[in-house]
Amino acid sequence: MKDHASPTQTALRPPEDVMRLRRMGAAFPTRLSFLRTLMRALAADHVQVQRPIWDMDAAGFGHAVYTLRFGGYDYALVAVSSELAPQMRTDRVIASAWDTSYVLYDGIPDASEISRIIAMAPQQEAARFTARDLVLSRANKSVRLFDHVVAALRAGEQPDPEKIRKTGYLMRTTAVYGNGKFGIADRACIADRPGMGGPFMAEMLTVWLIRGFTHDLAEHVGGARLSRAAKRQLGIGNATGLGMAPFLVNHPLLLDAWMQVRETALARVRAIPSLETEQIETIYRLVARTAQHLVEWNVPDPIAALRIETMRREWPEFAATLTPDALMAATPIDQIITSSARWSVDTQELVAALVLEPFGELIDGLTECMATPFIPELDPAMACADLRAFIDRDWTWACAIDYDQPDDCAQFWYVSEEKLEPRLGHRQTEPGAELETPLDIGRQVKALAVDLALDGPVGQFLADYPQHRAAVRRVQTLARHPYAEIRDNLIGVDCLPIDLLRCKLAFFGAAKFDPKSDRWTRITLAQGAPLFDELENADDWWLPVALI
Amino acid sequence: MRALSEIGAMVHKAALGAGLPLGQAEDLGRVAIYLAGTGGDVDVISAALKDHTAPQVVWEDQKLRVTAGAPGLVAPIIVDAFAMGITRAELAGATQAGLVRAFLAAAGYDVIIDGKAVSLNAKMPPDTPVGPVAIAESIWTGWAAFAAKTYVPASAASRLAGAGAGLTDND
Repeated sequence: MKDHASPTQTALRPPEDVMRLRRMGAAFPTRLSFLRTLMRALAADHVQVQRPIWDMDAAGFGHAVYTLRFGGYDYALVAVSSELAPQMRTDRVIASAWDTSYVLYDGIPDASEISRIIAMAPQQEAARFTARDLVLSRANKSVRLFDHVVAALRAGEQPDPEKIRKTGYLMRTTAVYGNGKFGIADRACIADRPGMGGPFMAEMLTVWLIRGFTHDLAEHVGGARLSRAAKRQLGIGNATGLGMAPFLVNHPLLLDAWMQVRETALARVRAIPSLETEQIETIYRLVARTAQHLVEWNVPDPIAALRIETMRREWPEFAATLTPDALMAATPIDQIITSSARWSVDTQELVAALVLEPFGELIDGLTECMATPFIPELDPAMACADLRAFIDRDWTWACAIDYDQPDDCAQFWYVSEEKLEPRLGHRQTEPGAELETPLDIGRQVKALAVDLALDGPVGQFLADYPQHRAAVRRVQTLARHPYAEIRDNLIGVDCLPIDLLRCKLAFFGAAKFDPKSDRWTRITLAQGAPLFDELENADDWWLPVALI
Repeated sequence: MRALSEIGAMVHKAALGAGLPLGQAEDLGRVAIYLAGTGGDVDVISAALKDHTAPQVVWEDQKLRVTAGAPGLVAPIIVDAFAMGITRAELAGATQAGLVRAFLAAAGYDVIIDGKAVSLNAKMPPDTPVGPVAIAESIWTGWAAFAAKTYVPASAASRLAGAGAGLTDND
C-alpha cells in the first residue's frame, strides 16, 4: 500500500468470505469507486469543460466536441450522432450501428482529426484507430424517454419526473473500449499522468462526458433547457454482458488491489474509536437515503427483485439498531459490521458500503493503490513442498471439487467466432467445449495438485510438467495477494456471470443494477453526479435517489 | 499501427490456438510485447507457434542441457533455470536461439549465444517497450489464423443463450 498515514485498522474480512461469487455479486458502489474518485480529482483540479464545437442539425444528427484540461493535459470528447433505424438498435455486441459514437481524444483535435473520428467512430470495432484516441465508445438512446423529454421541451414543459425517475438516463453505452483495442492508445501512454493513473479513469471520464452530451442533445432537439435537477437525475445507462466477465479472472493483481483497498478502508473505519456528532448525523442521513434508494430500485428479474425485497425488509430493522447509544458507543462501526452478519449477504454489503461514506479523509487516499503496474510472476526457485503448502492453505475450495461430475463442469467459456467476444456454453448440450477458454482456474490448480511432486524446486517440476505453468503462477500469486482469486468454480452449474459483472461494475461506481439474465445487466452510472459546472459539489451522491 | 496490448492479446490467443499451454501462451504474449516494443524481430514469435515438440532437458551442475523441445516450451524453462541461478544452457538446435534470447532479454538477462551455447553475460533491467508499432500484415494475419482456432462458430442458439440477451432494445 502506498498510503503513508497507516491509520489504525482492524483485521480485514477474510478472502474466504469476501471472494465468493455470491458476495461479489452483492457489491455496491462506494466512495472508493472509480467514478467517485474521478469526480473528486476533477474537482480538485478545478476542471472546466468547454464545448467549442456543436454542429448538429435540427433532428440532432451531427457532431460535437467537448474539451477539458485535466492534470496538465488536454483531452477532448468527440461525439457523433447518427440516424439509426429502430430495428438496428440493440444493446448487444452483435450490433453494427448505434445512435451515437464517441472517441476520447488525447489533446485538442484539429479539423482533420475530427473528420477522421467522425468517419471512424460510428464503425466502432470495424475501424482502426490511432494512439491519439484514448477511449472508444457508443451509446443508444432510451428512445421512449429521449422522445418524451424532447416532446416535453418542445411543448415548453419539463419532462414528467416519474418517467425520468423510472429510466434514469437518456442513453445507454453498450461498450467503452480502452487500452489498445482497435489501435487506440495503450493504457501505459496515460498511466503516469495526474488524475489518469487510477484504473479506468479515462473510461470513466468518457462516460461522464457522454452523459453531459446526452443532456445537451436532448435540449438541442427539444429547443429548451432541462431543469438542473432533471439533468442531475439523468445519468448514463450501460448495458454490460459477458465481454466484461473474464476481466477479473485475467487480472488477478488488479482484482487483489481493488479488494484490498476496499477491505482496508472498511478495516480502518471499523477501528474508529468513537464518532463525532456530525458523522452520526451523516450516517442517519445516508441510512434514510438508502431506504429511499431501495424503494426506487425496481427490476423485473425475479432473483434480483427478491434480493431487493429482502433488503427493503431488513433495512428498517438494521436502521432500528442504530440508536444514539449504539452510535456513541466505543468502536461503533465495528459493532455495526459485526452485527450485520444477521442480515442477508446483500444487506451486509450495503451496510459495508454505507459505513465508508462519512470517512473520506481516512480512506480516500487508499484509491491511489487501486492501480498496479505489475503482472503475476513465477518464482521457479520456490520449493515444490512450499507450493504444496500454499495449495493446501489457499485452494481447498478448488481441490474439493470433482470436475468430472456433470454439475461441476456444466459450463464452458468460449470466444464467439462471430464477434470475438466471450460467451458461456453448456458443456452437455452445446458444441465447442474443446475450444474452451481457460477460465477454469480451480480445475487447473486441482490438476496441478495431483501431479505435484514434493521434491526439488518448482522450475524443475515445470520442465517435466509444462502444462501446469499457469496454475503454478496462480498459486504463487494468491499466496502473496490473498484477494486475487475468485474462490468459486467458474465452470460449475451454479456460476452466475452476473455476479462477476456486478462486482466490477460496482467498482466503476454503477448502481441500479437491472439484470436481464444471468449474463447481462443494465446499470446506471453518474446518476446524481455533478454536472459539468457543478464540480465544486462533487462528492455527495452515493446511491442515486429521486431528485425531482 | 498496433497497440502493444493488442499485440500481446493477439499472440496470447494465437499461442492457445497453436496448442501451447496457458502459461506458455501468457509468457509468449508478454515476450511479443517486449520484442515489438523494443524493435525486436517478431518472426521468432511466428516460428514458435508452429512447433509443439515436448521439451526434454537435463539439469547439470550450473548448466541446463536441452535435448529436444519447441522454442515456445523450452524458452520459459531456460528463463526459470537462469532465475534459479544457472548461468549456462545448451540448446538442442540453433533454431531455438532467437526465442530463447528474446525470453531472456525480456526477463533482464543479457546473454551470449554461440551456436547452441547460451551463457549469462549480465543481469540488467529489461528495456521498456514503447508502442504503437507496425506489424507486417502477413505476420498479423498468421497470428490471427492461429487465434481463430480458439473461436467457436456461432449458432442461433449460442447467439441467444451464449450472451443471454434479447435481440432488440427499443425502449
